[in-house]
Amino acid sequence: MARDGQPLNLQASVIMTARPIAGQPPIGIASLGRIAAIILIAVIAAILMRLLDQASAGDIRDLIGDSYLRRVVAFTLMQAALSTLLSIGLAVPVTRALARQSHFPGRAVLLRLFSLPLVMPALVAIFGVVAAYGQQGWMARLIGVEAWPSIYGLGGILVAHVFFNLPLAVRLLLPAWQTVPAESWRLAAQLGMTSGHIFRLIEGPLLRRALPQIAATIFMLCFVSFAIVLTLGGGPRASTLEVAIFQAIRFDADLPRAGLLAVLELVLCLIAGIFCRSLTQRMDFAAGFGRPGWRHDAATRSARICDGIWIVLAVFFVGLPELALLADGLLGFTIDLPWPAIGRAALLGLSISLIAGAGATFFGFVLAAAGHQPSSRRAGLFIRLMRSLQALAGLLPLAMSPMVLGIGFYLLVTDYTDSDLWSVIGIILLNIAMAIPFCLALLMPAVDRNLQQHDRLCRELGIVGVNRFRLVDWPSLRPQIATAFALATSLGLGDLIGISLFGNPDLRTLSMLLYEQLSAYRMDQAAATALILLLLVLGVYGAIERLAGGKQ
Amino acid sequence: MRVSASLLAAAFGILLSGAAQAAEPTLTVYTYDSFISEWGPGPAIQKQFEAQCQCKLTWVGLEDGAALLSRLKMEGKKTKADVVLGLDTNLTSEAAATGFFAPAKVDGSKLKLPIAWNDKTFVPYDYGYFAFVYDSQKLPNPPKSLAELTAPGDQPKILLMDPRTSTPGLGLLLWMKEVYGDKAADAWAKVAPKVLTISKGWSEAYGLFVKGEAPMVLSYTTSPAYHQINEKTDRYKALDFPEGNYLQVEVAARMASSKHADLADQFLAFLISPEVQKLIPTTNYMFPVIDIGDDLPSEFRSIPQPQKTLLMPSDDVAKHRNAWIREWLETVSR
Repeated sequence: MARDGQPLNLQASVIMTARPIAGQPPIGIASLGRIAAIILIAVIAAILMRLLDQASAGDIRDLIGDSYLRRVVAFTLMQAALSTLLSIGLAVPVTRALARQSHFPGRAVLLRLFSLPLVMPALVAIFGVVAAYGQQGWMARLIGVEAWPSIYGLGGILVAHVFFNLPLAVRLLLPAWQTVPAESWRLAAQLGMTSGHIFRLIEGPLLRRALPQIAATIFMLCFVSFAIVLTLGGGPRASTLEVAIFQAIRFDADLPRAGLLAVLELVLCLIAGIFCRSLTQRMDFAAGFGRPGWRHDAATRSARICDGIWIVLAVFFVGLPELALLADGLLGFTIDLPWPAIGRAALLGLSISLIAGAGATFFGFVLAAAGHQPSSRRAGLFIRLMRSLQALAGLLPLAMSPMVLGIGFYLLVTDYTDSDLWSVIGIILLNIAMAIPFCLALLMPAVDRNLQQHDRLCRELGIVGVNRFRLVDWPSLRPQIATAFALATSLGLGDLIGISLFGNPDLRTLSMLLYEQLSAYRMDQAAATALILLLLVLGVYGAIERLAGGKQ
Repeated sequence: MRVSASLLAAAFGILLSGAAQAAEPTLTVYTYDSFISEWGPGPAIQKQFEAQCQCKLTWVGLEDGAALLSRLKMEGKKTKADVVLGLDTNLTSEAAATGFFAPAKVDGSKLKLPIAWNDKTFVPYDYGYFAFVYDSQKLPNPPKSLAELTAPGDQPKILLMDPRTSTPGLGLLLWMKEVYGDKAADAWAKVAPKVLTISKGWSEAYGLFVKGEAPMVLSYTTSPAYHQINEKTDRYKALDFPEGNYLQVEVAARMASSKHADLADQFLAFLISPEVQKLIPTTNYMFPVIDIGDDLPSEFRSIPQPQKTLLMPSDDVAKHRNAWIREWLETVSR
């Protein structure tokens, strides 16, 4: 296989020099990316092998013959596909509106509020969604409890998943819009393009570049969703594969079964990922000066009204549960709160998540650089396969069952050591792994664009390695890198899986504290803790974007 | 940058301080999170025990009793645990079958439980009854019996937990099985229309209940005591049914692999001493397993004792649990 690949590779690079517009990633960073991809694949494989150690053919037969499981798989696929389509379908017009109307008061605040749902522990999101749209929620009381439809069922699952993923999709998609050079917008204005033309010629291709990766991310998030599906789905009719994995691990400590179910989950998610990738189309922009763009079609009355409606609808839908959480949280502040515990948990969460955030951003960046595909149309099968693997490596942590990822990781770590320090390192590594897919989705379009733009110059001038990152990549990618760092750090702040695995009572983050308060009947304190967590996320997000991102 | 560096130093400081004093023996106790949270009995127990044992007590907190047993099975002989605290009567047979646990040298003569306790391995430390808790402001006439609850109709709405993921959820499954036997599936079919939702865990369901999503929730007879003691309200009440309420006894045990057997026994004995037992009601919101006299809060004394105590033999649970869950799934997902 490798011998076949060699000449094809040469051929590919010959083609590339002939078509200089297709850039090639800087050697150092791309190889780092390849190493990162291999590490990720190796870790996931090690985890699965650790679990499947004792698996037998009988286990596989049991799984195949299980009619209940087939129904669960069908339901899991169905709800994940619907949730993804809805989230993406709504995110496109909302993002377009936000990209077009790039200056209006409150826009920055709005984008920060959009970063919140993703980091909410499932329980907090459930309480928020129910307080807004539940049986006795704000909407029900506004419209009439009798007239308001019940949220429990498929509808509830979709509402909660869109609440999570619409803002995520907007956050991930918006940087893609920012990669359009100002020169293209000026050209569009000179040619008198209508909004329809712009959509077809600029935004359409843009979406085909960025959207599939985002869709795959969301699909996987919904596929492994668990507490939300059970609680808002109304009962066991709505069970995902993850419930079966939970059952296998929790009830039966049946690692082989859990491992096999995780493989099934992984395969289904990867098929979805490959499908999404096959929809991806590369997009070449002419080089520009990288100045902020201005759109001539943004200021018309109809554009403003249309954009306004989309923005208001999205803000209403996402904002209402957030507002409900704010109201509940503020009520919680009227009672005595365990401030020392809250302070300690916040500090600990911050330190862990800042390290994990930085790590995930680094890996996301190198994976994005390595995933850049110069002229893939003519490349050989082997090279294409390798590239696909590399691209999918970044999605692996999401395609894995979080339960299995966590427990497998725990077992691997404790096979070798049981020191406290290693549990901290383990938690950080787990958080890095789980944030990589988001960083990758965020950074990929920008890194691609950057390579197209600067690669030739760098090559001619011989700027490589650290120098290249310092002089070329960092200045132009700074805002996107900052956003990735901010998002990854916030994800870590809301983490529960990593922290609860090792069970160390000194390692208590805010989300952990919140669960403890809930199981001790302290619902009002928990609401306050949730609010503090969300405010912390807002603060950290803002601070990182401002400090690391420079002036936008 | 400097700020995050000092944050880090603070965080790792917490960790390293624990490692510094390694001269004393360390007793590692696996338990569930809420036992060792700020509101649970854990912190006080640790302080008092360390004051008398010349040892260090280290907690490892996992999600619940089922998670504890599962974790032990996965860790096998390598486990760090000396004592496990937080299994319950539905798990003891399965736990005993692993052979991980050794009989405890503990004097159980003072134990006062609703059932006779003969198990020498598992030491009970608290108990409670599963019960339906209702909001008396929203539901002036709650169902008076399990029969009324399983009568046709779709009111009042109730919040349940999934027996696959939650301890009370499994408790209700066994409760129904104990009362209705082979007819349990029919009874579940009649309950199903009243169910607003079946959540993953107790916290979700109880949270939704307090928010007013449904007027009734599966919980414990002791739940109203929390609201009386901490919120000074009689609004939430528990129902005792003439058919009986299902009992949950929480237990602790020493690992056979423990290198600190004496220390572990000392801890188990301490667990059922009056000092610890009087902490239980207002921290774990369960009943103590010995008579603590006036230390039992009046709110606990006024909790009606169920007319009948239901508890399925642990062996039956271990043997049939998966089949019963399958039956339940088929009925409720219909």
